[in-house]
Amino acid sequence: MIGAVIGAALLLLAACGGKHDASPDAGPKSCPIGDLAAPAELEIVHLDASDTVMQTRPMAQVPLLPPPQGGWIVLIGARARNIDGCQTTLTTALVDGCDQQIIQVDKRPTRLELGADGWGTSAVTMFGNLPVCPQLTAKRDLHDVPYDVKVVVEDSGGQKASATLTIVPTCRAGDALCMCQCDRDYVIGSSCNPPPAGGHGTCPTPGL
Amino acid sequence: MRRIYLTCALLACAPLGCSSSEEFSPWQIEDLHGGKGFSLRVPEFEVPAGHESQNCYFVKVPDVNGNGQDVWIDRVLTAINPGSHHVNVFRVKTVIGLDPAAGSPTKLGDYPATVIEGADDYQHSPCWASANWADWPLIANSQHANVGELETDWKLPENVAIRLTPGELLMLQTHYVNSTDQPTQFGAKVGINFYQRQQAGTPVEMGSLFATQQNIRICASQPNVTYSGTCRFPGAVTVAAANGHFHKRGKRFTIFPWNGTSIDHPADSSMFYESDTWNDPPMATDLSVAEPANSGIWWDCEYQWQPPSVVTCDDVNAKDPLHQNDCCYTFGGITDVGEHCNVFLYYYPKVESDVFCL
Repeated sequence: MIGAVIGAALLLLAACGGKHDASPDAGPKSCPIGDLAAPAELEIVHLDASDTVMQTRPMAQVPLLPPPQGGWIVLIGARARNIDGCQTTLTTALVDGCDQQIIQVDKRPTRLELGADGWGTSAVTMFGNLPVCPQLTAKRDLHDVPYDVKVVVEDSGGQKASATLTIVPTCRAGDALCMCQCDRDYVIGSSCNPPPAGGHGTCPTPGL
Repeated sequence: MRRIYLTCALLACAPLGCSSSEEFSPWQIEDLHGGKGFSLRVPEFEVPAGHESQNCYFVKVPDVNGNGQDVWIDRVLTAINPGSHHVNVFRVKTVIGLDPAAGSPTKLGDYPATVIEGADDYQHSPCWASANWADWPLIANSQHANVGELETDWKLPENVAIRLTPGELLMLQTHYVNSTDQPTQFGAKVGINFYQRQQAGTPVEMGSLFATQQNIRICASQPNVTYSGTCRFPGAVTVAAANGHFHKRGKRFTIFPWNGTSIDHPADSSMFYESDTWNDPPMATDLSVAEPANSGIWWDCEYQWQPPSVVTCDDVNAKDPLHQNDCCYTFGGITDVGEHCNVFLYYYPKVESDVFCL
């Protein structure tokens, strides 16, 4: 009797499953992009405010975007080949070129979608989320000032590539909150009225 | 569909034998008065089966010494009935959409308070919109409550204390879940004792670090994923306590010291926090992790996708801001439809301000 009741309960639980069932036995999917025997190649891309993928050029103005719980981020991705596009880890880092200190690291899975040119680009939903500001430890302003981004992609087979570019994280024109919270002297919880003075774009003098 | 899942849960629970109230003894902790400190007691409430509840209570720090001087807290004792997902206490800073003055009058023990009840209306209630407390520093929290252990007794390190100022506004946030995987069988009941330091002299001030991965996606088509982040301290500090926070898809939460100069994952041997229990994560309260200047933490959140247990993938998809239609759990919301990847950490000495990595 007890066994029948438990069996009925388990059946009920099974019936409660959704249409999506995890299938851990299916095994990881492989999606080679290019020649996996050749060295992996990488270029950096970013998303603009309308989720359009943009090729990141040196000194590119990369928009600072507001995530749900506050702060300002840049969304950085990879354009790569000679790598498995389905089993890829994306690491992005914001680096202060003045002293090479890493301000923030973000590491996550990404999926590279094959383009007509034979390169794979991070799916829009899987770009690196690199928090830029506010930063309690900032030594310079964090908007409209050059910073380095370092990007690494690596697949489960060990194919790996990295690239570094200098970008300019940029507040939307007239966005006073962004400029305040991305100021060197902004302290979380403090008022932006009046805003910090700004104008701290140069590298600090060593020893000061 | 919600009713069908709830019916399934109740029918399955009954014959398998869930804990009964006969086995349960409600918590009892002392009430603090005067110079000993102060006690906050949340009025007891019920959480309907198959639902969640998030409430935001606002109360001022009492002038326990009667002289307006700062109150230094060196012990925090929380007592919580099972079913609690988290209890967080913040200092109120910038008021955006969660206005203490808009709350309903209530009392937290001896002290007048207001409350904004969020129920499980994560789409509309300001008590669910985390942007509303994005710059509110955490001063204490507990996610720990099970039938066998209802209390978390956090004694701060020697000569270290949390500084509170009489009249300072605090927000005490409760989040209860009443589902089969985090049941609230005995009603929601929360109490916190803040013990005032009794020694003479000014102690070292404790600071807090709140770090979160806001852009997370745990999707049916890619069920096993890990997200990692870093967060830097403003100077050389010692980590004293930590806990991690994620929801039902969370499998493993780990925190490591990070040197601030490498993008490589820290050595596994340096890990100082680990949790594999989303609905009762441990809080490490006896840490003494030295972090030199320019260093920080690295944390990992490992997930395994699973279907929702109370709502449906349609509900999960409706919440996805990118409308991927892949039953992707994204940042925030109730435990069944959303995810988190948050670090709650306490360190000393506090320098400049508390630390946020958003």
